[in-house]
Amino acid sequence: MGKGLPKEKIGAFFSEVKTHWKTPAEGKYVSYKEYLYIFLGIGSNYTGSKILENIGFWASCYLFMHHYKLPYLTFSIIGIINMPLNYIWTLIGWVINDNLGFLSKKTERKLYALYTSLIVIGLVMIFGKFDFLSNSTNAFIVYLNNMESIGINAASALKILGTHILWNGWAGARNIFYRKKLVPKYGRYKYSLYCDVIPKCIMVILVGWLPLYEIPDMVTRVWAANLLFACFNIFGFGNNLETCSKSISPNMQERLLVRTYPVKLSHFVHTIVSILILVVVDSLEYEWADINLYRWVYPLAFIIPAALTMVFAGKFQERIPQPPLEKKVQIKFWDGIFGVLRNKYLRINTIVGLIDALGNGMLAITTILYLYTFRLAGLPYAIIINLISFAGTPPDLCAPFFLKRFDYKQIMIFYQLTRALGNALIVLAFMFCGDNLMLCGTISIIVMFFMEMTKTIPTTAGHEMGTRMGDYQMYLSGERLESFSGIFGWFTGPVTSFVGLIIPIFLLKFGFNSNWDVLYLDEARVKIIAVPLIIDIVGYLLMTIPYIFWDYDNVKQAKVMKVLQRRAEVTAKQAQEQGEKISGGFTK
Amino acid sequence: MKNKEEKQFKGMTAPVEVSLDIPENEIWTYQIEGLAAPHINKPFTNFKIKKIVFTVLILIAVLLSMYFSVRVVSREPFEFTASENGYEFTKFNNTGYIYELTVDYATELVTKTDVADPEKNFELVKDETKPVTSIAKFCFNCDEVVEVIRIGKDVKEIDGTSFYTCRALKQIIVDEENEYFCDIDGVLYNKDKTEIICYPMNHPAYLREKYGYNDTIWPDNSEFYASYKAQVLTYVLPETVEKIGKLCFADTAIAAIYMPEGLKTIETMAMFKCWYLSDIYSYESSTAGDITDYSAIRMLSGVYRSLPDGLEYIGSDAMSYDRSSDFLRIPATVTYIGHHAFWDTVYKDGDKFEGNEKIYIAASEEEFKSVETGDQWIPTYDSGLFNKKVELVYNTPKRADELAQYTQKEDGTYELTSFINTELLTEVTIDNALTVENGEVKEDTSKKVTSLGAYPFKWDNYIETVYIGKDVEQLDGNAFFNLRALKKIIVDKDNENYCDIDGVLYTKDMTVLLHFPAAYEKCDTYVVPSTVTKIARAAFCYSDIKTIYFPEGLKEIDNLAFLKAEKLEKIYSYKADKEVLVTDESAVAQLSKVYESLPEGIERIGLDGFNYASSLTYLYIPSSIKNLDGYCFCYNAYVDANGNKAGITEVNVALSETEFKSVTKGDHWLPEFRNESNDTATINFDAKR
Repeated sequence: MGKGLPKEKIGAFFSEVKTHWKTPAEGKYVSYKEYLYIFLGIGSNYTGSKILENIGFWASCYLFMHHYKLPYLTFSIIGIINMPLNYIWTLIGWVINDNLGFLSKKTERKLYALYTSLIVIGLVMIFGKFDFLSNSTNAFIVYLNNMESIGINAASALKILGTHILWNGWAGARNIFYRKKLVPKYGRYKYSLYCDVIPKCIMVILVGWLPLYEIPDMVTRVWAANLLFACFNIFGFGNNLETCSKSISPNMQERLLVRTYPVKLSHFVHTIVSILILVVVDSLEYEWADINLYRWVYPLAFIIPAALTMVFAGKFQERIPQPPLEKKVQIKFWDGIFGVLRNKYLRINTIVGLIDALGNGMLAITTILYLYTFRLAGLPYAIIINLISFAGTPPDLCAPFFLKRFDYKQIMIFYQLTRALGNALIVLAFMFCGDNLMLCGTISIIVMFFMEMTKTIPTTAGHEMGTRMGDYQMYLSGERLESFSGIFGWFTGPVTSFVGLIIPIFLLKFGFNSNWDVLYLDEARVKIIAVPLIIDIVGYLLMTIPYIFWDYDNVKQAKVMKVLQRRAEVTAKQAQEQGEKISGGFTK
Repeated sequence: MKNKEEKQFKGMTAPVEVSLDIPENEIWTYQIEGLAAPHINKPFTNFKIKKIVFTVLILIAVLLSMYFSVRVVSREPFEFTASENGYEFTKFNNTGYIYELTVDYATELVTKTDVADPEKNFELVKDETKPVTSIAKFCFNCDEVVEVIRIGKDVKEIDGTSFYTCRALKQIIVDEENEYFCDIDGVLYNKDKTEIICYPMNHPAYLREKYGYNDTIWPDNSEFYASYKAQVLTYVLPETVEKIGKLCFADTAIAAIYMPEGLKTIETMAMFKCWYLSDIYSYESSTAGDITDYSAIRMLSGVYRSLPDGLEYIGSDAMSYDRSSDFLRIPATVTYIGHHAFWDTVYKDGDKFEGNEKIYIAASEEEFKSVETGDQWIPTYDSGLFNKKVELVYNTPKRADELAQYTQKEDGTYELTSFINTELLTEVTIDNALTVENGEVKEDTSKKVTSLGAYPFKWDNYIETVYIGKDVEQLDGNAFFNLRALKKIIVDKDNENYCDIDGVLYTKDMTVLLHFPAAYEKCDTYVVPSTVTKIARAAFCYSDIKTIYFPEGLKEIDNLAFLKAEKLEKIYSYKADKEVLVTDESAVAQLSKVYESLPEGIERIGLDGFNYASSLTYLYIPSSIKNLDGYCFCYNAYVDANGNKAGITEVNVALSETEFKSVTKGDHWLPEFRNESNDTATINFDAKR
């Protein structure tokens, strides 16, 4: 038995693939040809979206670090300027998003009027002359003008706010228009790729080629860059196809297989592109500080995968059992709010996230270990990095096996306990053999290896739990309410912000600031590692408690899917009987 | 068979099978056992109360979120905590406009709301009932604005890390009444000067201002760098110093350091990332007292290249990333070397080693085994796939006092490569090699010196006369660059390669003027002989020449030729009817066809040719010009104290605008006023003399 089984299984696998290359097996929804398209499509989409992570209006972006030369505080201040109004736009956005853009005519007209007004107001604020504010002695204006050293004054603050208003007007109007036009055809997750990909490519090129970083006056440079990146951000190019793949099948096991194999493997495309980019960057005169990185390298690295994404995007689809759009449940604001608040599992997840915030502001321990403790570089660095990152791959590929044998509660509690134990060992290593760098580092790396090994299956479980929570929400409220679930973030915001201040305050006290070289100082480094890790350990232990209340098992999920399928069938039938057009539903 | 295979494979992914019987009219209400009931298109119970509660809660949450977000970016400029003896200054958060600060009493920033200018609309109010007695670790960490910190009389505790990464900090000045600390010219010490605590990161900027440098000068500008390095980047630790504190010199631009033999401890990261630190000297005794700049070097005796004998403790990362040093000797007295103490002080540039290719150790290999060493204290370099440690050379003796260093050439004669004027000589003869024995300078007749390397004297303020022997066959004007006290160069009459006229150095055929001594005594007027076709590189650099007469045969003024000749007011040229070899003022009356201009026939003015010759007001460039290299007149214009443009405000060119286009011009050749509008001098084409 032992000898014959692998060969038999391999044969069975190939036979299965051949038989169901174009037609899915009974009880399944995805053919193996679709697996291939998932691999190619997500590989391209993931690569493109990852490239975009290098281009953004944040301090760690090389464009801002080397060319715009803006202080990091500038980005925080802009965030604060935009913060109050942002709450309002978000609320409106939730209603639009979770209704997939299908609103009553009256609401739609009102929203278009609002968004048009915002665009006009935004433009007036951006291009209006507010220089007179520089001489004002009003306390608030003086306060704003005092921020000139970080590139902001009262006049530019108005322009920044105007940019925010313009952006929200423009983005809001697009949101209604394109969702309504494209969701019926392309589904809720993929539609935005179709309307955004071309303008996004143009913006990626413009970001590198528009020489706004040459503006000598920092105040002007800041608001101009903010405006440029607002335009850049209007057009999204997220990892939409992977999100779509999470709902590729109503069959729970099948979507787990899809996530484990074609999706995971597709990420290697990005790994290869990243290596190529490293090689190209190495050949640039100023490496990461070379503007050609933004003029040629990133545009090319983005546009090619973006084009491939569009080639494969249409080759697979989401399969959420849902009524046709014509029979879709209309989500009013309060339905949405109270709907998500009723979701027990979202509440559990929120509490976990809240406790997890205890680690907010912590530095990446791997960076500290590799670069500041061991001074790794070259081949040894590459070996250790790859060894540790590879540690998670074999278990990852076996995720379906483990997820079938253990329930999610067990897996997540195991995950939190292993994090707590692993971090405790690292802290002990630093505290008791910190002087012996080799010993301390070796212990830390072995622990990290095992932590990485035990991380990937819970991560997969976590993703699956997220999808299941969406299914359950759909059962509860008739829609997934993915946007409305953001309300939990509003409630936890103050706590996470407050808790997130704790570690940075400690780090500041231990000497950590914009100069990371302080990590070479032994006394500072040990404290910078150990104290946040201890707080994190407490967090991991506490995080096991909410999971005790997680009782959403496979049977419940299967029943939820049955309900959803039944709703889809019945509503589709009713629509047909009433002679209505059917679009966007999935009834199998 | 196939069915069996399928079954086995499907076994892994078999879905949970459930069946539910849901009537059509219950699809929106059907409740699954163990889960909450769906709530779709139905009114909520107690809807109004729920709405109100929700709204109130969410408003509180939002307001708190906004408050904490603002808290993240807004901190009090001054944070103090009460301690037993007074107040500890725990954190300074600069508003961006505080350039000078006195740490004596608890301070509060009060904004003046009636003033718009952010530089002036605040006031620092001190509470004199709250004296500051300590400054916490990392108190000023990463401040990028404050330039001067004054320490009050009551401060008793300061940690070396307090001022870490204050990139703009030029000086730390301590109140003279303070019983625990003091400063020497803006560098922080403990009161008895046994420990140097902090050398401010931007102290070189203060020294630049002190010594009249406008900009930073980098090592690749070798002519300037020698003097810059001496005046701005050299530090002499007083003889009293026993300890260099934690992070003391970290991230500074210091290039040369002199340490006393009494030094016992170099703390953790004390000289971390001193990228330009190339010269580490030690000395046996000093009469310099509190003089810590380059001028103290002359007051040191028993100077040698090494960490000082007597040193016991070298902390972790003490000198890591100091890549400019190429000689490091660890004395036999060392008992502890921390981890990574010399990390990354060597690297390979292609096949060539840079930095500390070897570490020299005074002790024997056996003796050195007793030294406690941390991990990776030996620097490593890339070698194939893995790094390789540098070689340790044991039993390295302390180098003897060296007045001069010579390198033997292929023909057996010697080249003078370095001359450190430890004996304060005013006259130097370049003929036989010089050595010092028991404080006496002697000639070693077995070593014949026939050439001088580039900048052998580096920086010297004492040498007034240089005698060049008959056998010297190779030198250039650069050899005497930066000898500010040099009055004359006398060449042996039998020398076949060089000659002098009245102390000015020429090639034997008199076609190249090689060097005009910086302290030449008859420098009001100088007539360049009619035979001269080229003024050599740096020939008049730093000289006090006021008026110069060029012959019409002059074709080239090489790089840096009149750089920093700040007193040069007039440039005349003459056409020689007969050979002119008299060079002083008496010759002027004999010259015919004199005109105020660069000479007809001049073809090239080299890089920095007249740069910083700021007393020039009139410039005429004849039609023969072909090359105007970069910066040749760049800083010859300026805006004076009254805001008026001064120096060379106009450049008169004999050529037409079209003809002038064919002249090769380097970057910034034209005089620049360095004002806000970046004005440059105007060019008058087709100008007449």
